[in-house]
Amino acid sequence: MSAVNADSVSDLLMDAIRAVLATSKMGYAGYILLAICTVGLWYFRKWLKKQELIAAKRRSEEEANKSQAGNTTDNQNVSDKLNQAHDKIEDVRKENPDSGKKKREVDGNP
Amino acid sequence: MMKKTLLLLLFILIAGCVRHLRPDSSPPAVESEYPTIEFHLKDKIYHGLGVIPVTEGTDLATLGLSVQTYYSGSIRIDSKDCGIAFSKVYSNFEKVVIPLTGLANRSCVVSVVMSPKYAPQNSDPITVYGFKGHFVLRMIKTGESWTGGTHKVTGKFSVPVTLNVGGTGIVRAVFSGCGVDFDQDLPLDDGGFLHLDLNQVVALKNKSTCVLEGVIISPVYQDLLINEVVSQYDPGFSPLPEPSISGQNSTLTVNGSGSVSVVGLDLSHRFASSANFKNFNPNVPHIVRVFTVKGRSTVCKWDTREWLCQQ
Repeated sequence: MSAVNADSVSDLLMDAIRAVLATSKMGYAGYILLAICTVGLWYFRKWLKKQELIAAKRRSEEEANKSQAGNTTDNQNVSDKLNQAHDKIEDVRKENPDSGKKKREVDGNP
Repeated sequence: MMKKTLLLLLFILIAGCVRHLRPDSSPPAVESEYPTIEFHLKDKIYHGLGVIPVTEGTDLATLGLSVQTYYSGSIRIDSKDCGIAFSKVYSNFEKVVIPLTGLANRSCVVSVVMSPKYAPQNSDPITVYGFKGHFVLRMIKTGESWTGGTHKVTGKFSVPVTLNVGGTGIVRAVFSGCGVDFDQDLPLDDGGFLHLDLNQVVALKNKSTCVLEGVIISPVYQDLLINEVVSQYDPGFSPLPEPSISGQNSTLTVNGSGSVSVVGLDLSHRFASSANFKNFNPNVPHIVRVFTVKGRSTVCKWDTREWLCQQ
Protein backbone atom coordinates (compact mmCIF):
# COMPACT_ATOMS: atom_id res chain seq x y z
CA MET A 1 0.00 0.00 0.00
CA SER A 2 1.18 3.55 -0.69
CA ALA A 3 1.95 6.08 2.06
CA VAL A 4 -1.70 7.18 1.96
CA ASN A 5 -3.94 5.03 4.10
CA ALA A 6 -7.25 5.36 5.94
CA ASP A 7 -5.57 6.77 9.08
CA SER A 8 -3.67 9.45 7.20
CA VAL A 9 -6.92 10.45 5.48
CA SER A 10 -8.51 10.86 8.92
CA ASP A 11 -5.67 13.27 9.77
CA LEU A 12 -6.27 15.12 6.49
CA LEU A 13 -9.94 15.36 7.39
CA MET A 14 -9.13 16.96 10.73
CA ASP A 15 -6.64 19.37 9.09
CA ALA A 16 -9.30 20.41 6.56
CA ILE A 17 -11.85 21.08 9.29
CA ARG A 18 -9.34 23.17 11.22
CA ALA A 19 -8.37 25.12 8.09
CA VAL A 20 -11.96 25.94 7.14
CA LEU A 21 -12.94 26.88 10.67
CA ALA A 22 -9.93 29.16 10.88
CA THR A 23 -11.06 31.07 7.78
CA SER A 24 -14.09 32.82 9.26
CA LYS A 25 -14.04 35.43 6.46
CA MET A 26 -15.32 32.83 4.00
CA GLY A 27 -18.83 32.82 5.54
CA TYR A 28 -21.34 30.45 3.91
CA ALA A 29 -18.89 29.59 1.14
CA GLY A 30 -16.57 28.28 3.85
CA TYR A 31 -19.26 26.04 5.29
CA ILE A 32 -20.20 24.72 1.85
CA LEU A 33 -16.53 24.03 1.12
CA LEU A 34 -16.21 22.33 4.48
CA ALA A 35 -19.22 20.11 3.71
CA ILE A 36 -17.88 19.17 0.26
CA CYS A 37 -14.41 18.43 1.62
CA THR A 38 -15.79 16.37 4.52
CA VAL A 39 -18.07 14.27 2.34
CA GLY A 40 -15.36 13.83 -0.31
CA LEU A 41 -12.70 12.82 2.15
CA TRP A 42 -15.14 10.53 3.98
CA TYR A 43 -15.83 8.60 0.78
CA PHE A 44 -12.14 8.57 -0.10
CA ARG A 45 -11.34 7.14 3.34
CA LYS A 46 -14.01 4.46 2.93
CA TRP A 47 -12.63 3.53 -0.49
CA LEU A 48 -9.07 3.30 0.87
CA LYS A 49 -10.25 1.13 3.79
CA LYS A 50 -11.88 -1.22 1.30
CA GLN A 51 -8.66 -1.42 -0.74
CA GLU A 52 -6.65 -2.19 2.43
CA LEU A 53 -9.13 -4.93 3.31
CA ILE A 54 -8.94 -6.47 -0.16
CA ALA A 55 -5.11 -6.35 -0.05
CA ALA A 56 -4.99 -7.97 3.43
CA LYS A 57 -7.37 -10.74 2.40
CA ARG A 58 -5.32 -11.37 -0.74
CA ARG A 59 -2.08 -11.49 1.31
CA SER A 60 -3.70 -13.92 3.80
CA GLU A 61 -4.75 -16.19 0.95
CA GLU A 62 -1.29 -15.99 -0.64
CA GLU A 63 0.35 -16.87 2.68
CA ALA A 64 -2.03 -19.82 3.16
CA ASN A 65 -1.32 -21.11 -0.35
CA LYS A 66 2.44 -20.63 0.08
CA SER A 67 2.68 -22.51 3.38
CA GLN A 68 0.37 -25.31 2.25
CA ALA A 69 2.30 -25.71 -1.01
CA GLY A 70 5.57 -25.93 0.94
CA ASN A 71 4.31 -28.61 3.32
CA THR A 72 5.14 -31.54 1.02
CA THR A 73 8.75 -30.35 0.58
CA ASP A 74 9.07 -29.68 4.32
CA ASN A 75 7.88 -33.19 5.07
CA GLN A 76 10.19 -34.73 2.50
CA ASN A 77 13.24 -32.90 3.91
CA VAL A 78 12.57 -33.94 7.51
CA SER A 79 11.66 -37.53 6.46
CA ASP A 80 14.75 -37.96 4.27
CA LYS A 81 17.11 -36.84 7.04
CA LEU A 82 15.37 -39.18 9.51
CA ASN A 83 15.65 -42.13 7.12
CA GLN A 84 19.36 -41.51 6.49
CA ALA A 85 20.01 -41.25 10.23
CA HIS A 86 17.95 -44.37 10.87
CA ASP A 87 20.04 -46.34 8.35
CA LYS A 88 23.28 -45.17 10.02
CA ILE A 89 22.07 -46.15 13.49
CA GLU A 90 20.81 -49.52 12.25
CA ASP A 91 24.25 -50.22 10.69
CA VAL A 92 25.90 -49.54 14.07
CA ARG A 93 23.37 -51.78 15.82
CA LYS A 94 23.95 -54.61 13.34
CA GLU A 95 27.70 -54.44 14.05
CA ASN A 96 26.95 -54.57 17.79
CA PRO A 97 24.00 -56.93 18.28
CA ASP A 98 22.42 -56.73 21.73
CA SER A 99 21.20 -60.32 21.78
CA GLY A 100 22.18 -62.01 25.03
CA LYS A 101 22.24 -58.73 26.94
CA LYS A 102 19.89 -58.06 29.86
CA LYS A 103 16.43 -56.77 29.07
CA ARG A 104 16.15 -53.16 30.15
CA GLU A 105 14.03 -52.59 33.24
CA VAL A 106 13.67 -48.83 32.74
CA ASP A 107 12.14 -46.91 29.87
CA GLY A 108 14.96 -44.42 29.37
CA ASN A 109 13.27 -41.54 31.14
CA PRO A 110 14.99 -40.23 34.25
CA MET B 1 -33.43 13.05 26.96
CA MET B 2 -34.64 9.45 27.46
CA LYS B 3 -34.44 8.83 23.72
CA LYS B 4 -30.84 10.12 23.56
CA THR B 5 -29.81 7.92 26.50
CA LEU B 6 -31.34 4.86 24.86
CA LEU B 7 -29.54 5.65 21.59
CA LEU B 8 -26.25 6.02 23.46
CA LEU B 9 -26.78 2.68 25.20
CA LEU B 10 -27.58 1.04 21.87
CA PHE B 11 -24.39 2.48 20.38
CA ILE B 12 -22.30 1.19 23.30
CA LEU B 13 -23.92 -2.25 22.94
CA ILE B 14 -23.19 -2.40 19.21
CA ALA B 15 -19.64 -1.11 19.69
CA GLY B 16 -19.08 -3.78 22.36
CA CYS B 17 -20.16 -6.53 19.99
CA VAL B 18 -17.78 -5.53 17.20
CA ARG B 19 -15.12 -8.22 16.84
CA HIS B 20 -11.60 -7.21 15.96
CA LEU B 21 -8.31 -8.87 15.19
CA ARG B 22 -5.26 -7.41 16.88
CA PRO B 23 -1.99 -6.82 15.04
CA ASP B 24 1.01 -8.89 16.13
CA SER B 25 4.45 -7.35 15.53
CA SER B 26 6.25 -10.73 15.76
CA PRO B 27 7.48 -12.52 12.64
CA PRO B 28 4.98 -15.23 11.59
CA ALA B 29 5.46 -18.55 13.41
CA VAL B 30 5.09 -20.51 10.19
CA GLU B 31 7.98 -18.61 8.52
CA SER B 32 10.14 -18.65 11.67
CA GLU B 33 10.06 -22.47 11.90
CA TYR B 34 8.27 -22.26 15.23
CA PRO B 35 5.68 -25.06 15.19
CA THR B 36 2.43 -24.28 17.03
CA ILE B 37 -0.22 -26.61 15.66
CA GLU B 38 -2.26 -28.52 18.26
CA PHE B 39 -1.96 -32.31 17.92
CA HIS B 40 -4.19 -34.49 20.11
CA LEU B 41 -3.48 -38.12 20.92
CA LYS B 42 -5.71 -39.76 23.52
CA ASP B 43 -5.71 -37.29 26.45
CA LYS B 44 -2.42 -35.69 25.55
CA ILE B 45 -1.81 -32.42 23.69
CA TYR B 46 1.36 -31.93 21.63
CA HIS B 47 2.04 -28.29 20.77
CA GLY B 48 3.75 -28.05 17.40
CA LEU B 49 5.99 -31.10 17.72
CA GLY B 50 5.36 -34.66 18.85
CA VAL B 51 7.03 -38.06 18.83
CA ILE B 52 5.72 -41.44 19.99
CA PRO B 53 6.90 -45.05 19.65
CA VAL B 54 4.66 -47.34 17.60
CA THR B 55 5.23 -51.08 17.82
CA GLU B 56 5.74 -52.79 14.47
CA GLY B 57 2.46 -54.19 13.14
CA THR B 58 0.22 -51.74 15.03
CA ASP B 59 -2.89 -50.76 13.09
CA LEU B 60 -2.18 -47.04 12.58
CA ALA B 61 -5.89 -46.22 12.20
CA THR B 62 -6.39 -47.17 15.86
CA LEU B 63 -3.99 -44.46 17.09
CA GLY B 64 -6.55 -41.68 16.67
CA LEU B 65 -3.98 -38.92 16.11
CA SER B 66 -5.83 -35.68 15.33
CA VAL B 67 -5.36 -31.93 14.88
CA GLN B 68 -7.47 -29.32 16.67
CA THR B 69 -8.46 -26.74 14.06
CA TYR B 70 -9.33 -23.11 14.78
CA TYR B 71 -12.51 -21.52 13.33
CA SER B 72 -12.86 -22.49 9.68
CA GLY B 73 -10.16 -22.66 7.04
CA SER B 74 -8.04 -25.20 5.26
CA ILE B 75 -5.61 -27.86 6.42
CA ARG B 76 -2.87 -29.74 4.58
CA ILE B 77 -1.37 -33.00 5.90
CA ASP B 78 1.63 -34.72 4.29
CA SER B 79 3.63 -37.78 5.16
CA LYS B 80 5.96 -39.27 2.58
CA ASP B 81 6.60 -42.47 4.54
CA CYS B 82 3.05 -42.97 5.85
CA GLY B 83 1.60 -42.27 2.39
CA ILE B 84 -0.48 -39.18 3.22
CA ALA B 85 -1.15 -36.25 0.87
CA PHE B 86 -4.37 -34.84 2.25
CA SER B 87 -6.07 -31.45 2.16
CA LYS B 88 -9.39 -30.42 3.56
CA VAL B 89 -11.55 -27.36 4.05
CA TYR B 90 -12.62 -27.52 7.69
CA SER B 91 -15.19 -25.63 9.72
CA ASN B 92 -16.37 -24.95 13.25
CA PHE B 93 -13.26 -25.99 15.25
CA GLU B 94 -13.56 -29.58 14.06
CA LYS B 95 -10.90 -32.06 15.11
CA VAL B 96 -9.36 -33.40 11.92
CA VAL B 97 -8.22 -37.00 12.28
CA ILE B 98 -4.90 -37.65 10.52
CA PRO B 99 -5.70 -40.29 7.89
CA LEU B 100 -3.21 -42.95 8.97
CA THR B 101 -3.96 -46.40 7.61
CA GLY B 102 -2.32 -49.83 7.44
CA LEU B 103 0.07 -51.56 9.79
CA ALA B 104 3.17 -49.82 11.13
CA ASN B 105 6.16 -51.10 9.19
CA ARG B 106 8.44 -48.04 9.19
CA SER B 107 8.88 -44.74 11.01
CA CYS B 108 7.27 -41.68 9.49
CA VAL B 109 6.97 -37.93 9.92
CA VAL B 110 3.53 -36.31 9.59
CA SER B 111 3.66 -32.60 8.66
CA VAL B 112 0.62 -30.37 9.01
CA VAL B 113 -0.20 -26.78 8.00
CA MET B 114 -3.47 -25.16 9.06
CA SER B 115 -4.67 -21.83 7.62
CA PRO B 116 -7.64 -20.40 9.52
CA LYS B 117 -10.05 -17.77 8.24
CA TYR B 118 -11.45 -15.55 10.98
CA ALA B 119 -14.79 -13.74 10.68
CA PRO B 120 -13.31 -10.27 11.42
CA GLN B 121 -11.08 -10.61 8.35
CA ASN B 122 -14.11 -9.26 6.48
CA SER B 123 -13.73 -5.92 8.31
CA ASP B 124 -10.10 -5.79 9.61
CA PRO B 125 -7.28 -5.14 7.13
CA ILE B 126 -4.88 -7.57 8.87
CA THR B 127 -2.93 -10.35 7.15
CA VAL B 128 -3.50 -13.71 8.83
CA TYR B 129 -0.83 -16.44 8.97
CA GLY B 130 -1.27 -20.14 9.73
CA PHE B 131 0.03 -22.80 12.11
CA LYS B 132 2.36 -25.69 11.34
CA GLY B 133 3.77 -28.76 13.05
CA HIS B 134 5.44 -32.17 12.74
CA PHE B 135 4.53 -35.42 14.46
CA VAL B 136 6.88 -38.39 14.34
CA LEU B 137 5.74 -42.00 14.60
CA ARG B 138 8.84 -44.03 15.49
CA MET B 139 8.40 -47.68 14.60
CA ILE B 140 10.02 -49.98 17.15
CA LYS B 141 10.15 -53.76 17.31
CA THR B 142 8.48 -55.64 20.16
CA GLY B 143 10.73 -55.60 23.23
CA GLU B 144 12.85 -52.62 22.12
CA SER B 145 13.35 -49.73 24.57
CA TRP B 146 12.76 -46.22 23.38
CA THR B 147 12.75 -42.70 24.76
CA GLY B 148 12.22 -39.35 23.10
CA GLY B 149 11.05 -35.79 23.29
CA THR B 150 10.71 -32.49 21.45
CA HIS B 151 12.61 -29.21 21.62
CA LYS B 152 12.20 -25.71 20.17
CA VAL B 153 15.57 -23.98 20.28
CA THR B 154 17.16 -20.82 18.94
CA GLY B 155 20.56 -19.13 18.70
CA LYS B 156 23.36 -20.70 20.75
CA PHE B 157 21.24 -23.06 22.79
CA SER B 158 21.99 -25.37 25.69
CA VAL B 159 19.50 -28.10 26.55
CA PRO B 160 20.63 -30.69 29.10
CA VAL B 161 19.44 -34.22 28.28
CA THR B 162 19.44 -36.99 30.88
CA LEU B 163 18.90 -40.61 29.87
CA ASN B 164 18.24 -43.46 32.28
CA VAL B 165 20.51 -46.10 30.78
CA GLY B 166 21.00 -48.28 33.83
CA GLY B 167 24.16 -50.04 35.01
CA THR B 168 27.52 -48.37 35.48
CA GLY B 169 30.74 -47.65 33.58
CA ILE B 170 31.05 -46.57 29.97
CA VAL B 171 28.43 -46.76 27.21
CA ARG B 172 28.65 -46.00 23.50
CA ALA B 173 26.37 -43.14 22.38
CA VAL B 174 25.64 -42.79 18.66
CA PHE B 175 23.52 -39.96 17.24
CA SER B 176 22.73 -38.76 13.74
CA GLY B 177 20.14 -36.78 11.79
CA CYS B 178 20.60 -33.20 12.99
CA GLY B 179 23.85 -32.12 11.35
CA VAL B 180 26.27 -33.99 13.66
CA ASP B 181 27.41 -37.59 13.36
CA PHE B 182 28.19 -38.28 17.00
CA ASP B 183 29.82 -41.52 18.14
CA GLN B 184 31.51 -41.44 21.55
CA ASP B 185 32.09 -43.56 24.62
CA LEU B 186 30.60 -41.72 27.60
CA PRO B 187 30.53 -42.46 31.34
CA LEU B 188 27.32 -43.09 33.25
CA ASP B 189 26.88 -41.49 36.66
CA ASP B 190 26.47 -43.58 39.81
CA GLY B 191 22.72 -43.86 39.26
CA GLY B 192 23.10 -45.22 35.73
CA PHE B 193 22.20 -41.90 34.05
CA LEU B 194 23.86 -40.50 30.95
CA HIS B 195 24.14 -36.71 30.76
CA LEU B 196 24.76 -34.76 27.59
CA ASP B 197 23.73 -31.48 26.02
CA LEU B 198 21.57 -31.33 22.94
CA ASN B 199 24.07 -28.88 21.41
CA GLN B 200 26.65 -31.73 21.27
CA VAL B 201 24.47 -33.71 18.88
CA VAL B 202 22.49 -31.02 17.03
CA ALA B 203 23.95 -28.41 14.67
CA LEU B 204 21.12 -27.04 12.57
CA LYS B 205 20.81 -24.18 10.15
CA ASN B 206 18.48 -21.49 11.45
CA LYS B 207 14.83 -22.09 10.69
CA SER B 208 14.88 -25.84 10.21
CA THR B 209 13.51 -28.98 11.84
CA CYS B 210 15.12 -32.39 12.21
CA VAL B 211 14.59 -35.69 14.00
CA LEU B 212 17.60 -36.81 15.99
CA GLU B 213 18.03 -40.58 15.85
CA GLY B 214 20.24 -42.23 18.45
CA VAL B 215 21.17 -45.39 20.27
CA ILE B 216 22.92 -46.05 23.57
CA ILE B 217 24.87 -49.30 23.44
CA SER B 218 25.47 -50.61 26.93
CA PRO B 219 27.78 -53.55 27.77
CA VAL B 220 25.09 -54.89 30.11
CA TYR B 221 21.64 -53.90 28.87
CA GLN B 222 19.87 -54.11 25.53
CA ASP B 223 20.01 -51.00 23.30
CA LEU B 224 18.18 -47.82 24.24
CA LEU B 225 16.75 -46.06 21.17
CA ILE B 226 16.32 -42.28 21.22
CA ASN B 227 14.49 -39.75 19.08
CA GLU B 228 14.44 -36.02 19.75
CA VAL B 229 12.49 -33.75 17.39
CA VAL B 230 14.22 -30.38 17.22
CA SER B 231 13.06 -27.14 15.59
CA GLN B 232 15.60 -24.33 15.47
CA TYR B 233 13.58 -21.15 15.06
CA ASP B 234 14.41 -17.62 13.92
CA PRO B 235 16.13 -15.70 16.78
CA GLY B 236 13.88 -12.73 15.91
CA PHE B 237 10.82 -14.73 16.89
CA SER B 238 9.42 -14.74 20.44
CA PRO B 239 7.07 -17.46 21.67
CA LEU B 240 3.72 -16.11 22.87
CA PRO B 241 3.78 -15.52 26.66
CA GLU B 242 1.57 -17.71 28.82
CA PRO B 243 -1.77 -16.06 29.65
CA SER B 244 -2.68 -15.22 33.21
CA ILE B 245 -5.50 -17.53 34.27
CA SER B 246 -7.55 -16.94 37.40
CA GLY B 247 -10.88 -18.21 38.58
CA GLN B 248 -13.57 -17.49 41.08
CA ASN B 249 -16.44 -19.93 41.58
CA SER B 250 -17.39 -21.10 38.10
CA THR B 251 -15.99 -18.06 36.24
CA LEU B 252 -12.58 -18.24 34.65
CA THR B 253 -10.67 -15.09 33.63
CA VAL B 254 -8.01 -15.39 30.94
CA ASN B 255 -5.70 -12.45 30.22
CA GLY B 256 -3.44 -12.78 27.20
CA SER B 257 -0.81 -10.34 25.96
CA GLY B 258 -1.88 -7.33 23.86
CA SER B 259 -1.15 -9.06 20.56
CA VAL B 260 -3.57 -11.91 21.29
CA SER B 261 -6.58 -11.89 18.95
CA VAL B 262 -8.40 -14.97 20.20
CA VAL B 263 -8.92 -16.32 23.71
CA GLY B 264 -10.67 -19.65 24.19
CA LEU B 265 -11.83 -22.06 26.86
CA ASP B 266 -12.49 -25.51 25.38
CA LEU B 267 -14.64 -24.75 22.32
CA SER B 268 -15.84 -21.27 23.42
CA HIS B 269 -13.77 -18.54 21.81
CA ARG B 270 -13.75 -14.73 21.85
CA PHE B 271 -12.03 -12.24 19.58
CA ALA B 272 -10.24 -10.43 22.41
CA SER B 273 -6.99 -10.36 24.40
CA SER B 274 -8.80 -11.12 27.64
CA ALA B 275 -12.09 -12.80 28.42
CA ASN B 276 -14.26 -14.26 31.17
CA PHE B 277 -15.77 -17.69 30.73
CA LYS B 278 -18.61 -19.08 32.80
CA ASN B 279 -19.31 -22.75 33.51
CA PHE B 280 -15.72 -23.58 34.45
CA ASN B 281 -15.79 -26.80 36.42
CA PRO B 282 -12.47 -27.39 38.24
CA ASN B 283 -13.27 -31.08 38.64
CA VAL B 284 -12.99 -31.87 34.94
CA PRO B 285 -10.11 -31.18 32.50
CA HIS B 286 -10.25 -27.99 30.40
CA ILE B 287 -8.13 -26.39 27.70
CA VAL B 288 -7.37 -22.67 27.49
CA ARG B 289 -5.82 -21.38 24.31
CA VAL B 290 -4.69 -17.94 23.17
CA PHE B 291 -3.42 -17.14 19.69
CA THR B 292 -2.44 -14.30 17.40
CA VAL B 293 -2.81 -13.51 13.71
CA LYS B 294 0.85 -14.53 13.20
CA GLY B 295 0.19 -18.13 14.27
CA ARG B 296 1.76 -17.73 17.72
CA SER B 297 -0.17 -19.65 20.34
CA THR B 298 -0.11 -20.94 23.88
CA VAL B 299 -2.20 -23.92 24.94
CA CYS B 300 -2.83 -24.59 28.63
CA LYS B 301 -4.42 -27.73 30.02
CA TRP B 302 -6.25 -27.93 33.35
CA ASP B 303 -5.76 -31.46 34.67
CA THR B 304 -8.09 -30.84 37.68
CA ARG B 305 -5.09 -29.85 39.81
CA GLU B 306 -3.05 -27.27 37.90
CA TRP B 307 -2.61 -25.48 34.59
CA LEU B 308 0.16 -26.84 32.37
CA CYS B 309 1.00 -24.52 29.49
CA GLN B 310 2.85 -25.13 26.23
CA GLN B 311 4.08 -22.17 24.17
